[in-house]
Amino acid sequence: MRKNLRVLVALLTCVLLFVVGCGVSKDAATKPEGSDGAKQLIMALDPDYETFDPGLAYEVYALLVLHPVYDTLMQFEDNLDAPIDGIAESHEVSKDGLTYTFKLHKGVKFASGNPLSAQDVKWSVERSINLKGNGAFLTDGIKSIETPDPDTVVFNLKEQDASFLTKLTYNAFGVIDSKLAMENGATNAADASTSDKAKLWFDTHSAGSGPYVIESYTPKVEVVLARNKNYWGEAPYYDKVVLKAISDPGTQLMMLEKGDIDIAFNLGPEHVKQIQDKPGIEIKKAQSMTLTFLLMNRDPKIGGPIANPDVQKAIRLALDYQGMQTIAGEGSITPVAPFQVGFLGTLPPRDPKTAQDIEKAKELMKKAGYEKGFKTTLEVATLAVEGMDLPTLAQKIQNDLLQIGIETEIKTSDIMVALDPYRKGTQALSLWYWGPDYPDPNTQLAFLPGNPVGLRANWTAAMNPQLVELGKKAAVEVDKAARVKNLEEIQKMMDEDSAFNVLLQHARHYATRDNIKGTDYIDLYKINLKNVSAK
Amino acid sequence: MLLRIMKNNFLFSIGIIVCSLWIVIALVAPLITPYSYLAQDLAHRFQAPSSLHWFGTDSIGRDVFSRVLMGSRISLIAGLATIILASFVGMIYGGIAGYIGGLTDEIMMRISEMVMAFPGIILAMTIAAALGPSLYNTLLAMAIIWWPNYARVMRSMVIANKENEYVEAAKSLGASHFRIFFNEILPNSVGPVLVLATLDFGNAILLFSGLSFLGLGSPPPTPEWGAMVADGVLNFNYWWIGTFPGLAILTMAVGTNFIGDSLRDFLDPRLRKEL
Repeated sequence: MRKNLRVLVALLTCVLLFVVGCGVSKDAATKPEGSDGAKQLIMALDPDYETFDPGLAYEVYALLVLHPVYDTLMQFEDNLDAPIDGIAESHEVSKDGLTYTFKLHKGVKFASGNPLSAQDVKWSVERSINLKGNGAFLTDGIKSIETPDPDTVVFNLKEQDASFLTKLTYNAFGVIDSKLAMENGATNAADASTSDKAKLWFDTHSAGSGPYVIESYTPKVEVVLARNKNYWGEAPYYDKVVLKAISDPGTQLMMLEKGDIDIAFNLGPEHVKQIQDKPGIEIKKAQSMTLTFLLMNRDPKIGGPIANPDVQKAIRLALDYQGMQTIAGEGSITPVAPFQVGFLGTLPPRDPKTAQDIEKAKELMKKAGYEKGFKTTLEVATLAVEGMDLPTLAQKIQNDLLQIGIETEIKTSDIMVALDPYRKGTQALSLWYWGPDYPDPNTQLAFLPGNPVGLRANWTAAMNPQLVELGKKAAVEVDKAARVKNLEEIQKMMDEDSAFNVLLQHARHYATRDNIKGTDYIDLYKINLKNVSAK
Repeated sequence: MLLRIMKNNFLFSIGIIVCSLWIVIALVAPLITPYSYLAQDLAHRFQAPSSLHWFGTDSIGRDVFSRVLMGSRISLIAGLATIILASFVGMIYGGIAGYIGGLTDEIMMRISEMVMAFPGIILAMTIAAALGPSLYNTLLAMAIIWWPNYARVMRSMVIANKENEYVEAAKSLGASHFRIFFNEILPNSVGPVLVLATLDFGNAILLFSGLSFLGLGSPPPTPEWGAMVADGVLNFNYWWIGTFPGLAILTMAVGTNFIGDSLRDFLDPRLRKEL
C-alpha cells in the first residue's frame, strides 16, 4: 500500500517538476556555476529526515546532512574499518579500556565566530544523553565526561566497549556551539527531553563548526547547505549544496540525464541498466550494509515444525542464493551470518553456486521427522529494500522451500502492521531487512541468542550458551586480532546453528554526472559531501 | 430475446461476446495455459513478448500470458461473490426496513446512509487493511460498501408492494409476517434488485482490481490482475508486465458495462423503443 502511495506522490512530483521545469533548469548542474556565479552541487535523493537537531536525528540520511555541518571527535574517511581523528587532534585509550582522552585542534571557531572548546563537546554530548532521542543509546556506556583544560576531553566508560570510537562518529556526538544553541532554547540539563525547546530552530539553522551550515530546509522539497566562512579546515569545493527530495527513481534518472542534478542517489539495478551507455553519466555501485534475512522462530508454540534447528538448517540449504542475487540485482552477495562484508572480521560471503544442497536439506528434514514436509506461513512486509521488492523475493523463497516439502502461504502486510509481531517475536517464519545501528560489528551482535533481535525469534541465551559467551567477549575485546578471531568464530558457529538465515547483503546503485568526483559511497554518510568537487 | 436484442444493439453484442469469451477462458484456463502460472524461471526473467511467451515474462520469470488467463477466474469469482453477498444482505435489510416501516425504517435507513456517506474505496481499503489482506476479507469489504444500494432499492419496492391487494388478502387469511414477507412481497420485489446487480457486476470487478492493485487482494503468488498491474508499475521499464493484465481488466469491465447499460435501456420503458 505504501509503495503505491509513493507512486502517486511520484506522479504528482512529475507534474510539479514539469510545471516548474524552466525554473529548475536555470540553476542546472551541468554548468558548475549557478546563476549568481556560485559553485553549486545538486543531489536528488529519497530522504527520511525527521529533524536536523544533532541530539535527536537518527535517520538513514541524517548524517548525509549533519556530517558536513557538525564536527565530531572521530570520523570515517574511505572505509568503515577504523575511524580516524576528526576535530580531535589525537586520542589516547587507557590500558584498561575505560578512559578515552581527546586533544582538540587549537583555534577552531564555530560558524557563528564563537570559539570551540572542550566545554562545548561536553555540553553537546550531555545534551544528547539527556534528550533521550532515538540515537541516545550510542551514549549509554558513558559514565562521566571531564574537561581538564579547554583543549582536552576525557570520557570515562562504565565498561569496555570495542566500538566506542565508532560511536563517536555519530551526530549524537556532534559538537554544538553551546552559546548559540542556548540562546535558542537548547539545554543540557537532566530534564532536557522536556525542557529543551531548540528542535525546531535546529531544523532550519545550524550551530556547528563543519565546512557547511544549514541555510534552509523545506520539508519534502529540499535542504540547502552553504559554505561556512569560518571553517577551520580545508575549504570545500562547492559554495552551496542542494539536496532535493525526489522519491521516484524514474524522475531522478530523468533529471540526471537532463543535467538538472549532479547525483541521482536512489536508483535500482534495473534503472542503472537504462543509462549504461549514456554520455556524461557515471554509474556508481557499492556494497550497502543492508541485509535481508529469514527469521525462523525457535519457540515450538509459535514456530511449530519451523522451531526445529534441523529444519532451520534444511531451509538454509534449500534456498537458491544465486537466484535471489539475480532478483536483488548485480553486486548483491550472501554473507554466512548476520555480519556484513565490509566490517572488521567478516568471513568471505557464500559461493552462490554451491550453497544450495537439496539432498542434504532433505536428509535433515527426514532427521527432524518431517520427511513429508509441512505447511506454514511466510510473513512479509510490502516494501522495497534497496530497490528490491520484498514480496517478490518471498515468492522465490516459497518456490525453493516447496522442493523440500515445505508448503508456505505468503502473508503480506504493511510495514507499520508487520513491525509489531516482529518485535514481539510472534512470527513463525518471516522475511525482514536490517541496517546496522552504527558501523561496527558490535551492532550485529544483536542477532545472537538472548539479544534483542535473537529474542524476536525466541532464540534464548540458554539455547546456545557457548555462542552467548563468545559474543560477550567480542563486544568488549579491545585487541584487534583477538576480536577478529572471536568474530570469525561466532560466524562459523552461526552457520551451523542459527535462527536467522541471511539471504542478501544488497548493493547500492546510484549515478552521477561524470564531471564530478569524490562521490564514493560510505555507508555511514552515504556520500561524504565534504569531499565532492568538480573534476 | 437475446438474439433479438443483439441484432439491434451493437454494443450489447460486443459485451456479450467479450464476456462469454472471458467466461469460457475462466472455465478452461488450466487446460489452455502454456505454462504453469506459478513456474519461475530466473534465467528468463523480463523476456519481451515472443512466440514462446506471448505476453512476455515477469520479474521472476513467470509467463504473463498464463497468469492473465488464470487471473480471469479470480476476477469473475470476486465480481460474482461481491454482488451476491451485497445484494443478499441488502435485500434482507431493505426488506425488513420497508416492511416494518415507521421508526425502525428511519433508523435502519439512516444507518445505511451513514455507510453510503463514506467514500467507498477508502472505506473498503480501511476494512480490508484492518482484517488483513486475503481474498475473503477483500470480498467482505466490498460487500460492506455495496449493500446499501440494494437495501434502498429493495426498501422502496417493498413499500410499494405491501399496499397491494394480495398482501391484504394474505393478511386477512391470517398469514404470519414471515410468510407474508417471504411468500408474497419478496418474490414481487426482487426484479429491480437483480437488474441492479447485473449492472454492478463490472464495477465490482473494477473495484476488486483497484483493491488488489493496492495490495489488498489475495497474497502473492495469486495471479490477480490488479496485483499484476502493480507489479508492472514496480518494473516500469518492461511494459508488458502491467499492460496485458491492464487490458484484461479493461475488456472485462467494458464488456460487462456494455451489457449492463443495454439491459437497463431495454428494461426502461421510456428508452425501450430505441433498441
